Amino acid sequence: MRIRNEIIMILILFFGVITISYYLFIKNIESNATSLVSLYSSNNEKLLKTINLSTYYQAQLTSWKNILLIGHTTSNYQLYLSRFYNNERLLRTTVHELIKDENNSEPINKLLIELEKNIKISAKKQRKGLREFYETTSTATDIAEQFTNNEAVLTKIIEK
Amino acid sequence: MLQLRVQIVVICIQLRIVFTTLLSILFSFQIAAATLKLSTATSIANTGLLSHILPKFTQQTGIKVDYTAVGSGAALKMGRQGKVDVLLVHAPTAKDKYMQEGYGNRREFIMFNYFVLVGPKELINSKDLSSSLQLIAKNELLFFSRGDNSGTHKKEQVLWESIKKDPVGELWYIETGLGMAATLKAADAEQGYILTDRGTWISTKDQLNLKIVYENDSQLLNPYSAIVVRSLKQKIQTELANKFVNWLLSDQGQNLIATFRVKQQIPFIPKRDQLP
Repeated sequence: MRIRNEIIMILILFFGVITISYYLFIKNIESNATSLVSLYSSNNEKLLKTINLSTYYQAQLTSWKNILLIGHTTSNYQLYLSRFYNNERLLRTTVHELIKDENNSEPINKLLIELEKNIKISAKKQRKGLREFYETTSTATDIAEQFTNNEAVLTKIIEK
Repeated sequence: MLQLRVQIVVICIQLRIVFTTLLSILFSFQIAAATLKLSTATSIANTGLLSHILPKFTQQTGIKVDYTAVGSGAALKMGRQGKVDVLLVHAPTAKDKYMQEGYGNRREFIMFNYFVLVGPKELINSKDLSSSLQLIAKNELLFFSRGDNSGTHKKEQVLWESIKKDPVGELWYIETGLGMAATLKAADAEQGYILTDRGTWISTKDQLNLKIVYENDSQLLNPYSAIVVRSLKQKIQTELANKFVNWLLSDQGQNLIATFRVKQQIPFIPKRDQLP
C-alpha cells in the first residue's frame, strides 16, 4: 500500500516537473521569437533610415549649388546659405545620434560612420568652393561644377 | 516770302529739338556721373555709420552715393566684377590678395575697432584668446559662426587657424549663413559663443543674454579700408571714388567717424587717432 502511494507521488512529481519544464521551454521560445522579430524590425527600420539619410545627403550636395546659382542678391544668398547650413546641421545631428545607438548591427554602423565621414569631407569642400568664388573672378557655374561632381559620388556609392 | 518764313520756323523748331535733346543727354550724363556706387561691409551700414556720414558728403560735394551693404567677401567680389566704384571693407588678408591681383587703384586705411568674443558665461581658466578658443573646442561648447565669407567670418577663420583647429563639420560649430545681428540672436537662443564686431555688439547687446568673454587683444583688431576699384572691363568712376576716399580721410570725414555714437558708445575709431 505504502509502495503504491510512493509510486503515485513520484509519478505526479515527475509529470509536474515535465509540465512546468515544457511550459517554461515554450515561454522561452516565444520570448526569443518576439525579441528576434523586434530586433529584425528595428534593424530594418534603421537600415531604411540610413538609406533615407544617404539620399538626403545627395540632395544636400545638389542644393549647395543653389547658393551660388540663385544667391545673386544679398537676401537670396543669405536665404539659400542659411537653409543649406540648417539642413546640413540636421543631417549631421541625426546621423550622429543614430551612431550612438549600441544596438546597431555592424553593417548599419559601418554605413552610418561612412556617411558621417562623407558629410564632413563635403562640408569642407563646399566651404572651400564658396571661398574660391568670392576670392576669384570665377562664375557661380564654374565653381558649382568644380566642387560637386554628383555623378562620381553616386558611382562610388554604387560600386561599394 | 511766306514759304521762306515757314522754312525758318521749321529750322528753328528743328534746332530747338536738337538743342533740347543735347541738353537732356548732357544733363542725364551729369546726374549719372554724380552717383557713386559703393559696396560696404554690413557692420558699417547696420550700425548707422553710413546714414550718419553720407548725407554730409552729398551735401558738400553734390555726389550722391548708392550703396550696397554685403559681407566683405561679397563686396570684394563686386569690386572684382567692376560693379561698384569704391569699397569700404574689413578682412585684411582678403584685401591684400585683392590689391595684389590688381583690382584696386588705391587702398586707404580709414578707421578701426575691435572684435569681441561673447558668450553665455566666462570661460574658466582662459588666459588669452587662444586658450579661450581651445577651451571652446576641447569642451565642445556651442560656437556660432556667420559662415558667409564676411570680414568677421574670415577673421574667425584666421583665429581658428592660429590654434591649428578646423571646426567645420563639428557638431558644436554652428554656421548660420546670416548677418551679424541675426547670428548673434541665434547664439543667444542656444546660449553659444560667438565672435562679433564691437559695433554690432553695442547696437544689439540690450536684446541679448550674452556677455563679453574676451576683448582688448591685438589679435582682435578690425581695420576698415576704402578701396578705389580698378577694372579693365567696366567703366569705373575713379575721380568720384577718389573724392570720396579723400573726404573720408579729411578732417571732416574723420571727425564725423569720431563723433558717431551708438547708445552713447564709440563703435569706430578714425585713422587719425591711430592704432594703439
